[in-house]
Amino acid sequence: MMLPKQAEEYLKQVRQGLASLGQDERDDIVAELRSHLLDRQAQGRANLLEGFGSAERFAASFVIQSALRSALVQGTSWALGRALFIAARDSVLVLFGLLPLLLAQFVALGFLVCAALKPFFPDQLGLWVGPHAFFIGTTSGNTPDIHQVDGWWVFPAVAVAGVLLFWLSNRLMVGLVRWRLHQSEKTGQP
Amino acid sequence: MQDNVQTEVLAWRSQLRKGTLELAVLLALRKQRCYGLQLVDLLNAANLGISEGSIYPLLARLRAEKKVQTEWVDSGVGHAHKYYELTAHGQEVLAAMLVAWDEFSRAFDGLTAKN
Repeated sequence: MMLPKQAEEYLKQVRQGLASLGQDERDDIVAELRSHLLDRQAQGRANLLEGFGSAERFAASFVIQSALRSALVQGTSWALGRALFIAARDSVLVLFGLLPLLLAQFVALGFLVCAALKPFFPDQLGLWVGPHAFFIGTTSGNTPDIHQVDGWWVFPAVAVAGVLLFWLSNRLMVGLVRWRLHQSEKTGQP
Repeated sequence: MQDNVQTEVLAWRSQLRKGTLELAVLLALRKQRCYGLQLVDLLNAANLGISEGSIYPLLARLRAEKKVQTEWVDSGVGHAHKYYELTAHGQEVLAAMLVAWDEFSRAFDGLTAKN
């Protein structure tokens, strides 16, 4: 049985919106929606799409939910960041939570790269201090008032700081994903 | 002024409805398996005012949480229906939710009786 052109177009847009899901899941959602619309059509309803909202938003509710759940299972910063980025489309709070956590992840990676390269570039990489400076990394060499802190402990300290910051920001990302899922449960919405 | 009160109450009722939608769906599935449209009609017949588009993402979540399981059944109307039924875990969660609901409801009954 065929649906009116407008309903077919809606189904097409929903399918496009579900592009990031697996083929089986996508087919399942669209088939269920088609079945619903066919039933309503058989009942003689004039506006088949009443109560569905935009196709983009309808599809996004599945995509966000799936991405958040899958990220929790995977637990990697990449999966968590990607899921939160998708969820940030409809939540400013998620966006504001995600940005500092992404920054922390990049800083942590910077620390780890510094620690790994320290044995090869001992004079260029390290912990630098000065009257208005305290940072881990490298300098351009044009700032004579800062100097590198010497000592064997700098290398492991930077590595530990990197690992701790990475782990902590990862845990906070997990917390943010759980919070977003909890919001769905609380409001009954995905 | 009266309009403001009505608007506030409407918004509050909407929040109440959203917060209890999961319980309503699990309750509806307690006695029989249903497909999405049946659930919408069942809940709306009970004056819960469910929009058609909100039921499917919720059912997908309940399925992901293993509270319901699904089966496509050819109903002989030219297309198949995706039926939902409670799993053992779903029944367990529903029983716990009903206990919590009962406690909550009794607490409110006590409060309204006193005031």
